[in-house]
Amino acid sequence: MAEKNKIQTAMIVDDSEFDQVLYKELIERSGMVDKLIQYYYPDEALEFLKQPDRENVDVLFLDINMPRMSGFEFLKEASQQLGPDFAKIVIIMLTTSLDPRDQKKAKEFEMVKDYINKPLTIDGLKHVISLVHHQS
Amino acid sequence: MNFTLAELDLVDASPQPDYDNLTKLASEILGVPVSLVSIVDFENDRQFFKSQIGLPEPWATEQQTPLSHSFCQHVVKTNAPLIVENALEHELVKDNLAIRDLGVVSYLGVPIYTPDSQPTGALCAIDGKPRQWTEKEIELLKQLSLCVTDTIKLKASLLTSEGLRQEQRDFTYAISHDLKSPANTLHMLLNEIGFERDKLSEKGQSFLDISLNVVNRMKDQVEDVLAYARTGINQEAHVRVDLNTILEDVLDGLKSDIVEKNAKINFTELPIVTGCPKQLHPLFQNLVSNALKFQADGNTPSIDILASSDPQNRYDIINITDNGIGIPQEFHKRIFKLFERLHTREDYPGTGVGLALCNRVISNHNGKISLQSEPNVGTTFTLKFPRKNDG
Repeated sequence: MAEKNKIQTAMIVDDSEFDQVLYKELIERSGMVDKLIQYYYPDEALEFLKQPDRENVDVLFLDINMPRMSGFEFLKEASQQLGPDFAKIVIIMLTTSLDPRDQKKAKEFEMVKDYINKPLTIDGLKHVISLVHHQS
Repeated sequence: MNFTLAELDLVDASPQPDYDNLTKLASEILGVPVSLVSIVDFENDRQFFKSQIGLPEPWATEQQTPLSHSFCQHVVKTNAPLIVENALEHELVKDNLAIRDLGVVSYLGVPIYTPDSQPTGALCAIDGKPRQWTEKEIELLKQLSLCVTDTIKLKASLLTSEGLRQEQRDFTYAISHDLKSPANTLHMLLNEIGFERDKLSEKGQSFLDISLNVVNRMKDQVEDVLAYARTGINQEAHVRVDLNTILEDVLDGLKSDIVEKNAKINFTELPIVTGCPKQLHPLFQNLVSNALKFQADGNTPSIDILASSDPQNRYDIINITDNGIGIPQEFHKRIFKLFERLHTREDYPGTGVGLALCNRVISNHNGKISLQSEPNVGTTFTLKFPRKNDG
């Protein structure tokens, strides 16, 4: 992570294909992220993260309401199954949920560094990247 | 919430067994000919008998007297029991007209309360001859008066919950309606942009398609939530419903989908059940359309809708079996929750409302819905409708 306003790898777990198309657009246009990994199903994202030889992920944008497994269930499973490896990733909740209980619940997970309401904006992305640099 | 005496059915209301049982008990236990639940209505200069036992006519039928005939008003005024051994010798009530007209000689009354703890009347025991009230009798009547107060509280709770439910329904309906109209406007605007399609880049065109798709989804979502909210409370009367007619309508509505997928639909004669046709239609509509939808690519849907009964003949049972992708065991509870989905909208479109709605409909009919499923083989949803004994 040589450059201050850039990161290498971001991952998005979100079941909305359209939102994913638009995130990809925004992130590519920003030039601040080298590589983007996209998953539509949380259980598939979990399988990816479990691979021992997978690449490093700097930041993970996580939706809450998803098929089969909610964002919170994903966090619980990932923490249990991946341990410290997972704790290194900066997790950002990215959701349309306005439920204050969801925000409160998100705070209970130490690895969740921020809670952003959709849509993701360029300023939001800059802020997240500064969080990643702050962490490392 | 605060309710008036009329809203609580305490004045100008017919007798109710919950109160009548308590006055009967009071009369029985204390061995008195008359017992009353009397609501003191100072504004209208009257006491109203929500419940009475042993009162002479015309009072029994009129259910009320002016306050000139009320001992109970003193119980409310002092917020304390009134104990009268012999009314003719009692300073407070010796001139009360109840002595002459209702034949009250001895009286024991204890306060009853509104839900916000204001004394509002009395539970009383009355005899036509002088008598000494023992400590134990006073204590017993106090215990019974707590039950009267609890009955009033219960009524207030029911009114509160009914009010909240109504409010919730109005709110959901307003929200859904207010979301629907901007979605419609957006849809029209995007259609207009569609006429300028050639002027857009390829990417622009694809975004336009996505936008239309999203706004259509929004309309679906709003409509489904609205349908779910409408099914909320089971107020419509239950009638005899021929499920064959319901199924016919449902299959007719799904005709284009069935033809397009070349689906095979088999069904036996279905029973006539007791229920609400407006709810039973979406129940079958959702289950059959799910059976058509959740299919592997290229698979020809085959759906069986079969009626049966349990060995004791207590239920009408309907099994809806498909040859679809199946539902893993661990999700069998989850699928009935509102907005739960097992797939992205791109893989299988939907709003996550359908099965939650089915569950609600079945529970409104005192029935049961369950499923058996094997991934890649198919799913059977089982509906059980309780049979009425009268046939």
